[in-house]
Amino acid sequence: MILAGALAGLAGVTQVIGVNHRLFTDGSATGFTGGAGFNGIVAALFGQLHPLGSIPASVIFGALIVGANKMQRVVQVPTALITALNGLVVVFVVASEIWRRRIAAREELAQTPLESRLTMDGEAAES
Amino acid sequence: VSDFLTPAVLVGIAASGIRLATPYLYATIGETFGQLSGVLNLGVEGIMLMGAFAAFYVALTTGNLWLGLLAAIVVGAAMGLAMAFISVTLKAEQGISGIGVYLFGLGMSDLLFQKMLGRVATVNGFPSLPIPVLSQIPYLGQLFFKHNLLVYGAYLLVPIAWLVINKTTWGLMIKSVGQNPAAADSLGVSVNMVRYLSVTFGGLMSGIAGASLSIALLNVFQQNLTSGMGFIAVALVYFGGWSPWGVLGGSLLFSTVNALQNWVQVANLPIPSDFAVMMPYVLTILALIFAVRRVNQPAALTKTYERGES
Repeated sequence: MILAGALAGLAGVTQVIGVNHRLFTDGSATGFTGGAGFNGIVAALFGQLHPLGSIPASVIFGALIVGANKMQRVVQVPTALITALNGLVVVFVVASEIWRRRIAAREELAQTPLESRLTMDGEAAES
Repeated sequence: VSDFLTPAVLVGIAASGIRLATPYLYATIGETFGQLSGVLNLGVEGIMLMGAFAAFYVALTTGNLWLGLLAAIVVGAAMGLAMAFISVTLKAEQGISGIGVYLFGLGMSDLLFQKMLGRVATVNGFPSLPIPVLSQIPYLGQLFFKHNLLVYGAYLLVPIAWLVINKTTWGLMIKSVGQNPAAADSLGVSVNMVRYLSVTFGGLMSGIAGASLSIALLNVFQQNLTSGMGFIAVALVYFGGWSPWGVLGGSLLFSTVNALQNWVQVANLPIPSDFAVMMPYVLTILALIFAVRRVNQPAALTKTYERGES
C-alpha cells in the first residue's frame, strides 16, 4: 500500500512538472488530474492486473482523454460525453468478467475426459 | 472569535447542519438497505447527480416541483436497477462497477446539463414550511421547525427505516440475504430478488437525495453539484454501523462540521479556507478508523452469490 501511494504521488508529479508545468485547479469535477486516479483503477483491471498489460490499458484511457479535449475544441462536443462513456467502459469491462469465467469453466469441462467427469459428478452428488 | 459565541450564530450553524444533513440522510438510508442485502453500491454519487439534474430540469421546464421529485425517483430507481443488474445478475466486482456508475452519472448529468440547458438557472425550490406554534419557540423553533418538506421527510424516514429493518419480515429477509445468502436461499428467500429490490430502492433514495439538493436546498444545478457527497454517504453507512439511527448521527455530525466549515470561510478566521474545506473529510477518515463497529457489517457484503458455490 505504501508503494502504491508512492507511485500514485509520482503520477501526480508527472502531471504537474511533465505535462502541465503548473499546478492549477480548473474548477472541474475531476480536478487537474482529469480523473486519472479513478481511471488508473480501471486501467489496472483492464490490463488484467499485470504490469505489462497496464501499458496498453493506460494508453487507451489516455487517448480517450486527449481525444475528448480535441473533440471539444474542434466540434464542440462536451468532454462530459467522454466521462460518461468512460463510466460505461468501466461497467462493461467489469461485467464482461462473467463471460470469461463461463468460457473458462466450459473449456475446463471440455478438457476433462468423459469417465472422470462422471466420477466427478458422482462425488458431487454424494457430498 | 467572540462573534462565534453568540447564541444566534451557534443556532444558525446547528440549524444549517440539520438542513444540510438531508441529502446525506436520503442517500445513506437507501445505501443502508443495499448494503444490508450484501451489495455495496459505490455509484451513489453518480445516481445523486442524475437525480439532481432530472429533478432540476423537470421542475424548471414544468414549474412543478412534485413532477421534478418524481423524475428524480424514476431516474434514481432506473440507475439502481442497472447497478443491481451489473452486480447481481452479471456478478461484476461491486467496487469497480460502482465507480463506473459514478463516472457515467458525473459525465451524463453534465452533458445533459450543457446540451439541454446550457446556462446556470435557478428554480423556486420547496418553500420553507414553518410548523405552526412550534416554530415560534425561541431557538428550538429555528432549529427544528422551520425547514422545507424534503428536510422533514428525511428525518421521518429514519424511524420508518428502522421499523422496516428490525420489525418486519422484509427487513429480516434483507438482513438474512446480506449475512448468509446460502441459508436464506435454502429457506426459500429469493436472494436475487431481495438484492434487486434493495439496490433499486437505494438508487431511488439516491435520486431523491440529489433532488433535495437541486430543488429544495441549493435550487441550482451545475457540473458536479454533489461534489463527493455520495462517497461520503457510503462512508457514513459504515460509520453508522448499518443502522438508521447510527446513520442519522453520522449525517448530522458530518453536516454540522460542514456548516461550521462554511461559517469559518465566511467569518474570515485566520485559518486557510482549504483547511476548513478538508475538515469534514479528515473527520470522516478519523471516524472510520476509530468508530466503526465492524461486528455489524453484513457478512456477505460485496460477495456475489451463486447457488451451489461455497
